[in-house]
Amino acid sequence: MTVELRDGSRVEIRPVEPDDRAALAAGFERLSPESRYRRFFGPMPHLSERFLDYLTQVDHHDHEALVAVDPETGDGVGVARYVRTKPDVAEPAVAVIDDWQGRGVASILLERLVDRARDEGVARFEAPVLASNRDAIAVLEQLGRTTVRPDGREVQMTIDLPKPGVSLPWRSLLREVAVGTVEPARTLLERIWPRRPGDPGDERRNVIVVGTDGSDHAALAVDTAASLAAGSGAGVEVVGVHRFLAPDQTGIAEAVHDAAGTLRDRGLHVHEHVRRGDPALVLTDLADEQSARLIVVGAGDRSKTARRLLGSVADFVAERSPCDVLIVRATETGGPAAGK
Amino acid sequence: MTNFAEELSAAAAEDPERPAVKLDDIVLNYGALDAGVARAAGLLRSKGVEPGDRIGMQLPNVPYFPIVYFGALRIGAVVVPMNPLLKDREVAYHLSDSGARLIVAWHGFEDAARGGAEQAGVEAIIAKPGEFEQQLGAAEAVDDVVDRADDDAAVIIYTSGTTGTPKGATLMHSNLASGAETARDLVDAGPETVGMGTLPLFHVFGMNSVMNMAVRARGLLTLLPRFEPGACLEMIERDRVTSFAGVPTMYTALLHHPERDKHDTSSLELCVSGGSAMPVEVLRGFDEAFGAKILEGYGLSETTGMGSFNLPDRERKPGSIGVPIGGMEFKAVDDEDNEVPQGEPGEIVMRGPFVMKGYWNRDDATEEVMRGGWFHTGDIATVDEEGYFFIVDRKKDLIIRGGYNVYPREIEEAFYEHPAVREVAVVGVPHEQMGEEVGAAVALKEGEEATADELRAFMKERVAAYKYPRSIWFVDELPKGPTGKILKREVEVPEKASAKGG
Repeated sequence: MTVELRDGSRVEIRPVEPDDRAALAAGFERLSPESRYRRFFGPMPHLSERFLDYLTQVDHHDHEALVAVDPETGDGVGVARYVRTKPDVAEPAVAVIDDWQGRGVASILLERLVDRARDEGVARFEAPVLASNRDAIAVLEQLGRTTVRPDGREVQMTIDLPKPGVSLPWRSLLREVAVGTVEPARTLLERIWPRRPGDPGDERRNVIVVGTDGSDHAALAVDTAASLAAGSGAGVEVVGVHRFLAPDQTGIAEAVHDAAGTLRDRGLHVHEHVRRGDPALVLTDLADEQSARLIVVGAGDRSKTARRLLGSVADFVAERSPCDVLIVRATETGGPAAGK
Repeated sequence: MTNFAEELSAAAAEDPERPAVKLDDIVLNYGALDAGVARAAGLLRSKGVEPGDRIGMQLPNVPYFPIVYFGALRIGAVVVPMNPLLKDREVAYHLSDSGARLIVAWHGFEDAARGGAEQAGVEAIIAKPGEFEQQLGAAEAVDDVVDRADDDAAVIIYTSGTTGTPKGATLMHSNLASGAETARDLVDAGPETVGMGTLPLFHVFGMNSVMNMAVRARGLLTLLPRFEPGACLEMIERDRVTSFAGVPTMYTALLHHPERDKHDTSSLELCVSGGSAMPVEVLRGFDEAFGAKILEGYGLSETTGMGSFNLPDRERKPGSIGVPIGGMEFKAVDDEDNEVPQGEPGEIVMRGPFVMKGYWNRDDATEEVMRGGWFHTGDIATVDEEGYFFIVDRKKDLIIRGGYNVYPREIEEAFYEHPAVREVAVVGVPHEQMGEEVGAAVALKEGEEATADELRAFMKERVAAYKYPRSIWFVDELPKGPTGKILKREVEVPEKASAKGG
């Protein structure tokens, strides 16, 4: 399957085959000394023939490896694998060549690997990681409930893999729902319950779309989107909408820019959009274009009168969204709707 | 006062006759030291060194050290001190990475210095007694101290830190000033102080707590280029040494020296120890035998060698690195940078006047280690109820041999340059005198042959003498986890290796 990355480039992800031996060796050559050290815990200038066999001749049950391939060149750009160590426990490992780091390849590979692992009866990952390798620790922590035990130069990570049916980025969302700061829309509830029958067209990227007009309730939606993105490693598409015929719209681009800046300050990967049209249509169209997983929308986007007449943006989005929708409702004092 | 070199000029102006540096029968008073510094500054300037330029310095503990060091600082240059034992490839790395303009090196290690300088494409000035004086004499005296901002770089000290390749910890003039002042206050040093200069001055601990401290206190620094316990005891008696700074192996050697009792060491007042943990029995034994307290402290190259100490006027806790000093703040934190509950292990993070500016030309590494404005040490400690820190583990792959850091990765990388080596893991081997010795488990390529002696000789050529593996043993395969990660902890050290002396 082909997946679009945060920066718009694409990779194909598939299980490793014995024929990938040469590609794997070539990919190893493209790893910097630092990346090799992080992967193998030593300088590791070469891979032995025997080890290459081991890495490519997998049984797809006790040992699974997924490769990410650049569809334009056919070059391997990353590998994630698990090897079973106990009946329901496996050790994961991931490496992405340096040119492709920072685009989310490792996250995508690992998410897929978790799916494969669950299918093969693995309930837990146990991963030694170099204590200094904070990026890897952060990526692995997104996979499920994690404990990290310091162990000298390494940390031992234990990750309980989420049950089938709840996809990974939803973990933190569920937590938010549980504490009552957000209110899931109907589609989300469906999602939490056992997975819908698979549909190839259903492929979603780890991207959240959020709208803003600079208002307080929009700020709350942006803030919620930020928490979810921070918790799930998702990219955020911030969009502002110039309504047809409506006066005074100079502030929209500024509001989008400000919101994006706040998100970037939180270390998130953000794109800005300013479009013209009906807010609900813009939000859902953008989600479609971006294959987003989630739209986050404020509950109070229109005046009471307008809502009665037109329905709220939130209603509209929920109705026609290609993906899940989260409606964030502010309390009368302006805070999230905790306990409501 | 911003340029730290002002400190020396001030000392010379206050009392030029006061003795400053001594090496056996050579004594330089502050006036003479200042004159030497002025000439060294002129020599460097004549070579085109300008404010902000880096210069490599590869000198043992001889009077040239403070002369070149303060001479370079005086004209605003940045000193890159290097271990004289470094091999040419190591010298070349330090020079190239820091972008040094030239190197001043001791004649006894001329080959490595010249070789390294050649690889890096810079000039080498060889400091040879007799000749170097002539060179200095021919140079113009520079008396003016170039103005520097507090946060201008003064010294770059190479360290591997918590990870990766050696990086230059960039110390600012303000770091040197506060480091020297706090070191002076810690041992209450003054003009009457006679400091023992046997810790290498190229190392951050010696540079700050010995040399800069002595200059700040206007005291005398008596130099012993190569530590030898017998010679050290003689010097303590001869020069009436009052203050001794050393690493635990030095204290052990002094304590166990057979002629210890024959020397009058009553002048010793206060000693400081750092580099690695001091065995409790040595601490107690030394107190009794010498009648001088040892204060254990803690600091890194990145923190001017300063950070925490057991203070003379507070309870001294054996095995503890003490409490933060000199305006430093310490915390023990978890991986999310949250402070751990008191008593729980956490990584030491610190901030305050001793913390470096950053790693030279390594913004990523700097950002990583300075997360949230706190310097992350990679050392794991617990804190007791009275705020004393106890180091219990370290997050970094590091061997501490006789108080000096050896980074296994650097040694492993040098090993892989040998054509017969397939895999290698460099590990610490317990050692009675050194604490840890450097050991290596090696797997050879199929059909290749090499003996341990050959490999040792090969490594000796590539890395400094204090780093090369004394024990080398062969394995078929390194222990690895299911996904191929090398499991260092499971590398078995043969009994022979651990029993063998250094």
